[in-house]
Amino acid sequence: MQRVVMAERPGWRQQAESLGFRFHSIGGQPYWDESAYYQFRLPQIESGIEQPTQEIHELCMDLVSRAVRDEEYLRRLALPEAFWDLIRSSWARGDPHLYGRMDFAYDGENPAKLFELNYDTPTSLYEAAVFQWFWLQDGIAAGRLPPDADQFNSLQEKLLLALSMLVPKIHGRMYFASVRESIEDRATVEYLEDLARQAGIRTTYVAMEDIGRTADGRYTDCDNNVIEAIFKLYPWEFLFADEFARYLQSAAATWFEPPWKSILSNKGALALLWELHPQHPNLLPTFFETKAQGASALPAGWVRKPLFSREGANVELVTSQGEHLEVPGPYGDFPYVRQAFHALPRFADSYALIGSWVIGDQPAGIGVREDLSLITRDTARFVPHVIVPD
Amino acid sequence: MKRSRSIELVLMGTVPLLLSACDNPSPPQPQTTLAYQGLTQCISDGKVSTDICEKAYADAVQAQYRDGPRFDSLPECQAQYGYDQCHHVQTSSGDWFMPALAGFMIGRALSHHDGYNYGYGYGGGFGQPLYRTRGDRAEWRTASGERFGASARGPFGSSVAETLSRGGFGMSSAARGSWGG
Repeated sequence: MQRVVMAERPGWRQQAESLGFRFHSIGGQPYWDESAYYQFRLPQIESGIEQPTQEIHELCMDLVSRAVRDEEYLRRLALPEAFWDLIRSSWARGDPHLYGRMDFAYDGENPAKLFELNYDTPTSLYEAAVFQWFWLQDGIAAGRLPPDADQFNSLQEKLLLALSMLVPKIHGRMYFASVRESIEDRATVEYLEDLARQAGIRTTYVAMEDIGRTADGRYTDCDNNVIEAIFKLYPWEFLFADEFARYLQSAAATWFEPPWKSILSNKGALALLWELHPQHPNLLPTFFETKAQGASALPAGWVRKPLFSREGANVELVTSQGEHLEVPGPYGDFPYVRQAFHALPRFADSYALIGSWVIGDQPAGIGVREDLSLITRDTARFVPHVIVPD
Repeated sequence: MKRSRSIELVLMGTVPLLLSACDNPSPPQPQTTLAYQGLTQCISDGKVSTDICEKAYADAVQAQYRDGPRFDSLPECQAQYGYDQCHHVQTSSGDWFMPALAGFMIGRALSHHDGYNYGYGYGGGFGQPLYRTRGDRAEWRTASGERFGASARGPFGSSVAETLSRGGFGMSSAARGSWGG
């Protein structure tokens, strides 16, 4: 695994605009960064990332099947009791899921270590599936990359397949929803909507804030059509806390991701995975924080994360050498887990985090994000990758 | 190969991204436009008389030859409309390949007296052909290739119910500010 510096394609910004990649730069700073790329060998991808991804995904499915049978799990995950039935019945019905992302620290040699699961509202999907793919094709066509260069990225193919399987289950149309202000979320949703149409599903976008409710507790769109199937890029823990959550049962809508994903989008899942599979080579020691621990300072070699947090918010870290890092955020009111500190590999002046995607139930590709800090935040840059033959 | 063999997008980059809101709806097609997959569906829907359905359908079938997409070769047609969707036609004015009818719409003018005004609206007839492209089977296109399905009323409509209130989702996000994954 190497970081290779290469000149940007001169026209990439125009290409980004024409492909609907509207958030390639954020606040004037590049988010898509093709001034370098990561180079892997095939065994690094297949044994180092793909196989652990499959294995951990199966451990995750096993964890959900345990949690829906044991209230103690749901309690420890701080999931609100009012929605336990919703969560359990969505699993019992076999409500399908589309996608998830695991974040790994991987240096190309040592076992990849799971930092987090993003199994409910993962983003960075479009750039991994589409824009990274065009970058590779252009690089090969221009002779800047070897003709047999490849990429671990069958995201679009697998998403199309997963969506095609939904066609018989969707009567009428499938709604796609996100919060109104976020252009990045809107683009991720637009991409999935695009694929759903290609798969033959009729789609309509609705902002989360615009969803209505009827007298008998069903959800409606702007034209008062009843919503029966909906993909939401909006976390379950937010949904559970919103006023309209009280209609979740009566609305009987099919949600993507399904309610049972709330078990896995929770950092407590990392502690439960470790409890069930201690010493697993791809897991880091992780524990629920006790009250006494919460009141005391974080010892060296540990990271502290709220059960629900995103983009590094409210994460506190003390490296093995005692260096202290902390990202402020709005999630401080949740319980925390403590995870053993494991340094991200450093390349040039950046730390690289590997997002490994699961589509349906299969590993489907990766996206590498770089940050100048050991805590990967929303300022991270997306850097493309290639697989080169041995 | 560990990557997708091909990538196509049918929506992204082709339409401007509109920030939607219920209070500023994008201007839809006229509400009076109906669309059906076939004659039987039109008749059983019962929104217009059997007579109107039959006339509109006959119009649409005729209009294919006048207004519908034409291709010189089969592969060109298939590339756009799908492999089993194209056929060869021969007329006195020439021969070409064209896609199969996926549906038809019934013209836009509703009079006060007798249902849809015959001969008003779409250049003579009031029934027009609808097609489905290979890349976007979920939405109809008109003969000129414009998107139609998004506002089509009729066959695909879900049930409509009175909305009592809106705005019950999204507050948690507003309270926490930026998030994502």
